[in-house]
Amino acid sequence: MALGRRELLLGMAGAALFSGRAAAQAEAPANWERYYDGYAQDGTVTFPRTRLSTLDPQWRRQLVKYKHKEPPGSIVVDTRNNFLYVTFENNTALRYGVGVGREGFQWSGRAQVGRKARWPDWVPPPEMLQRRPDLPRHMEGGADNPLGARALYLYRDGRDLLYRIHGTNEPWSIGGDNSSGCIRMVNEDVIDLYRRIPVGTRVLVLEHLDKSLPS
Amino acid sequence: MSGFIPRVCAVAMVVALGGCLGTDGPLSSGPVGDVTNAPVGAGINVTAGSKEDFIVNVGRRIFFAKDEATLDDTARETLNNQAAWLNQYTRYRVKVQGYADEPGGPAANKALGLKRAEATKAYLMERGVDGGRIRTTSRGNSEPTMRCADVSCWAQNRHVRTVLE
Repeated sequence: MALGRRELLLGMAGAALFSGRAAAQAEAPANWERYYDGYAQDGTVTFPRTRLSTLDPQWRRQLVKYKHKEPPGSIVVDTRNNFLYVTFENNTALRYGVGVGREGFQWSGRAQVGRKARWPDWVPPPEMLQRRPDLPRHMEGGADNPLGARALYLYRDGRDLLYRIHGTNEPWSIGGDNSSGCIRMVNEDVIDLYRRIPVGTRVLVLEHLDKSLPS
Repeated sequence: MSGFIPRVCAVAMVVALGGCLGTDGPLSSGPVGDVTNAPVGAGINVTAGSKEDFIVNVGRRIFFAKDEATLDDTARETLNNQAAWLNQYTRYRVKVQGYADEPGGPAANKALGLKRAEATKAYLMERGVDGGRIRTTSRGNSEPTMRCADVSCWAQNRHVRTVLE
């Protein structure tokens, strides 16, 4: 690869940012390079393409049987099983594997996609800044931004719930529980989801049940 | 025991900012039931050029703003992918079906649906798809994806669907 992991992480903002990212994201495995396959272009942004074959098959986008009561075209987020569904007719759904961050566990219920953004800026929440004053106050969108290629912002009754479905350039964090963030998807998947979901779409975030309990 | 990890991490996060993944690895959920989550079709081994490939890797629907029949950037992206796919798999013909919702009655929505379908066809042709392979229809507001009186339904209903034939 032309671009090393460190450069990927450091991006434009230098060492302070690196520590910020360490806080915001899962630790990279030693063999991180195998998770990427060259680069892809999205608008003006060049980003490392995910080598999808490195993901466990269950985390890859696929059509599944899914018993649900949601109208077709809705999103269901299952934080317990690390899945996100776009519901289709006849109890089927398109299923994506997701990583679930700390904020992702803390809310469940019904919402709507109130806003969507491409290569969104990241503003660390005040409580995170309190713990980590070295974090940037504001980080511009781009290939190094922890929110990745897209963000879908969940609202209820016109209010931002601060619950987001977003991208990541850390494919190894999919299917896992992460120290930070909400619902993360590989950039290729969140780009795909963004196209399938108009603003206004209904979202059901299932209650986060303990994983040790039987399904 | 592994079930506690997310919550422990949530607490530990405040103090240590440690990554959950580093210590425990991804928590695999394993199979989660026979009805729900059973693969439909080929799972991840979708045959390139199949209808399932079109649904999973391209996407059939594009969405429109209220009263609009113009394509936005997102719709054009989806149509770019549809056109590339159709140009590669020339054995398919497509039905481009327009839908509409609020405001207006059945006739107005039928007309708007058709306008949306025609805009879609014109764009696919611009991207190299032979117009002879594309037919347009409109369902207007007669078959809404969702029925309710707010934007969560309207947004879904204001769309065009490209169906392989």
